[in-house]
Amino acid sequence: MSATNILKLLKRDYYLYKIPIAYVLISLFFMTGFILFVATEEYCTMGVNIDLTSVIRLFSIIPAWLLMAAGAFHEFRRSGTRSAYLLLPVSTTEKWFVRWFEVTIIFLGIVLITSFLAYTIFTKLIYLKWPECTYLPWSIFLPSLSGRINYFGHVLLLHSLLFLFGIIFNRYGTFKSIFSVILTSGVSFLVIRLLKLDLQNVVESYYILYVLSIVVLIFSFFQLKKKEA
Amino acid sequence: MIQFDSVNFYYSKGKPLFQQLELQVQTGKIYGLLGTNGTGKSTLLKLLVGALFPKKGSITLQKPDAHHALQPKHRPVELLQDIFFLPEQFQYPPVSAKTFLRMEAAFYPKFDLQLLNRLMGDFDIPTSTKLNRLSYGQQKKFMIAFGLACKTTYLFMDEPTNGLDIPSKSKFRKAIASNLEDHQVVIISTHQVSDIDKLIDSIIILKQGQVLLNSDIAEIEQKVSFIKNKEKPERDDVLYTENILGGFISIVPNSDDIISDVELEILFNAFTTNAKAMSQLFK
Repeated sequence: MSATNILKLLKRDYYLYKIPIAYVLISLFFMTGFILFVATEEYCTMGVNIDLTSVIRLFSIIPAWLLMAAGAFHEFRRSGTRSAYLLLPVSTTEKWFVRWFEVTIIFLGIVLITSFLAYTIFTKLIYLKWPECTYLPWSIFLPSLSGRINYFGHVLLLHSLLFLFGIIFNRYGTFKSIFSVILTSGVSFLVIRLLKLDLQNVVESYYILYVLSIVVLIFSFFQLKKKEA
Repeated sequence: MIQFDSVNFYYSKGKPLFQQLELQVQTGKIYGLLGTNGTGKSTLLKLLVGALFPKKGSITLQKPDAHHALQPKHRPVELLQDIFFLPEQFQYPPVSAKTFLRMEAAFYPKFDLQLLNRLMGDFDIPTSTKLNRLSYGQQKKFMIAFGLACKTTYLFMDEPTNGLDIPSKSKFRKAIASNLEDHQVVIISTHQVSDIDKLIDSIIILKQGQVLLNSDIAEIEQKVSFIKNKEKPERDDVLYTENILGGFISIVPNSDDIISDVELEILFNAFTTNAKAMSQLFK
């Protein structure tokens, strides 16, 4: 892999996708704000205590992160853009790595930053309306590693599956990927139930999720290679 | 040099497109790739760039200064950096020409920005308008200018003059003829024979998955003559005759060593209607 080629691909994707990504981030920003507003109103006016962290994570951070994985290979939708992308003078490994890095690492970073900004700005605005309410600090969004490793494993596996299906499906990749993940999760759930596996009792069972994520990612690399034929 | 060795290709198994296709293309020349619809012109170009893989046989590309030949199906980066393919249909991203250059030019090590600016001026392509908002003809002109500025050894164009207006076609010919270097090879696939007349050095004619002709214009001039008459010629050696305005044009073997201009369209029609006799002459 060449660092120069990776930088060229990152630069290319920045110019191509900065606007659609900006739309996703703006939506995420306002979604987070909306959740904060509704939760605070429930808490302040009716005394209903909502698990704000889980709600924001489930309804804004994770969906945005997963959506990006499903749409990672957006150019496969049309034959013209697909062949232009596949014929770029860089190796398949570089193409695969850059897209994985963008949707997994970079996007997770900017999603967290956007959420943090939304939290900071909206809590200040909400404070003007309900000054008597107190707010949980930002650190609640950064859970301790030991407590959340299993949870993150599930999300990472979903993310890897969406990334894989995003390569496999040419048209309507995002919708087909989401449907496939739901189907896969359903089948996995049935298998676990049928075989009566109790993963919770297996010591460090969450490692299975991480190993599976890596297997899915390796498979996705070969799917991209196959796409070139 | 480009070499096709016994290449087989099909889209569906029962309908082979190429069977045992043999073809050699030399560098430093401009080739016109001619053929009727469905003969595999675009497929041949896609095989050359590695967008499609041969089912059997091999395609190799060897640069004049290279020690070893490369196969497009392996997509080596050094080969991809040295190929530019202008497809017939393409989609531009919603970016301006300036941004497109920032995105794409870096992938081609020999990219010549000055040449691109000059060609964009010649073709009257606006630099600030988003490329996807340009007309089809302007998009094509930008792609031609970009392809030439990439300075790749291999430049393959599929119907490049489709959608160009008359002055642009002339500018296209001028741009190709004046900006190529000796190490480069250009293959232009087209139905618009008159657009590449006087531009190409060699002709490849495809029919039913086979190469009927792969010959230099000079060789064609030596082997056949194009004769215009008011009356239909009665000679026995006439290979092909066609009605034209004010008379007939015929192709006969050039037994008198008189050089006449090659009429590409007539030559192509002769090969498609009297393939056997024409091919024997060029064996």
